[in-house]
Amino acid sequence: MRQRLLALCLFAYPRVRRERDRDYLRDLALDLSETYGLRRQALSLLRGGLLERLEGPRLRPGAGHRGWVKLVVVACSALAVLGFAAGGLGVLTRGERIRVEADRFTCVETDHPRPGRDRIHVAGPSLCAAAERVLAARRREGWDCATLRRARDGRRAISRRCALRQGRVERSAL
Amino acid sequence: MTEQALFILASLSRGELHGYAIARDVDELSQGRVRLTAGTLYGALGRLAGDGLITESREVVVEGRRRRYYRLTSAGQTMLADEAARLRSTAAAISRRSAAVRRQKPRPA
Repeated sequence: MRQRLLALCLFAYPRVRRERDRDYLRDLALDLSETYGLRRQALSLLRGGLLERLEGPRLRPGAGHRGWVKLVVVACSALAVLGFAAGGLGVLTRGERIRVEADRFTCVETDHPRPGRDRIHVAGPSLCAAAERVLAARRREGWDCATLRRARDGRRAISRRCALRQGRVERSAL
Repeated sequence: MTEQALFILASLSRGELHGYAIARDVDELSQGRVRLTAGTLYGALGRLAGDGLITESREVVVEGRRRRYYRLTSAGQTMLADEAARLRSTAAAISRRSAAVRRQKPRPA
């Protein structure tokens, strides 16, 4: 259903562009919709496609009038798709399966680096700081993060499990 | 150059990335201020590639989805460095002016 909606929105793009990049653009929108929401991606495809058509006649001298006629047609199509998107979004959300997005936020610090085994100690305090910044951003967005600490052989491993509930959709990261 | 384009160049300065990874990185880099959508990202990548600042390196299929990778060109690296320098200079000029205005304001009696 998601794919169909995005495929419909792709009709806003000029045919040449669609023939070249349809699958790539649809997959990009699918990826982004899992993180940032389907409606936003659908609308961005419509806007991006219309803008491309608007810029098209300016780039091709002599094609102005036909370009504007096409634009009107596309605008009408876009309005129809927008109506479909607004009406169908509730159905899409209700019918959505639970998705699990897996990211790993783990860092390892050590007080006792062992000669010849440095490879396992590559993750130092700076990497932990970077992970903490990412986690702080997640928390600001409303994610709930739990902490797991492990200590073994002079190493401290810190893992975070973050989860976000939006309606019936749950995304989680470990 | 738009803020979105500048963040995309900054994101690619780390190395080759695909579109979705660029969007996530820009989100993190801008601390959630710039969130790229499929339409804007596709348009911006197309314009940057057209200007020779980035180039498509390869396309792979991961779990049935196409992912197109991009990398910064040498012109892109130069543009990023120039824009960063310009922004630093602009910020410094504005800070100097703001400080001067604060100094000139009469203190309330």
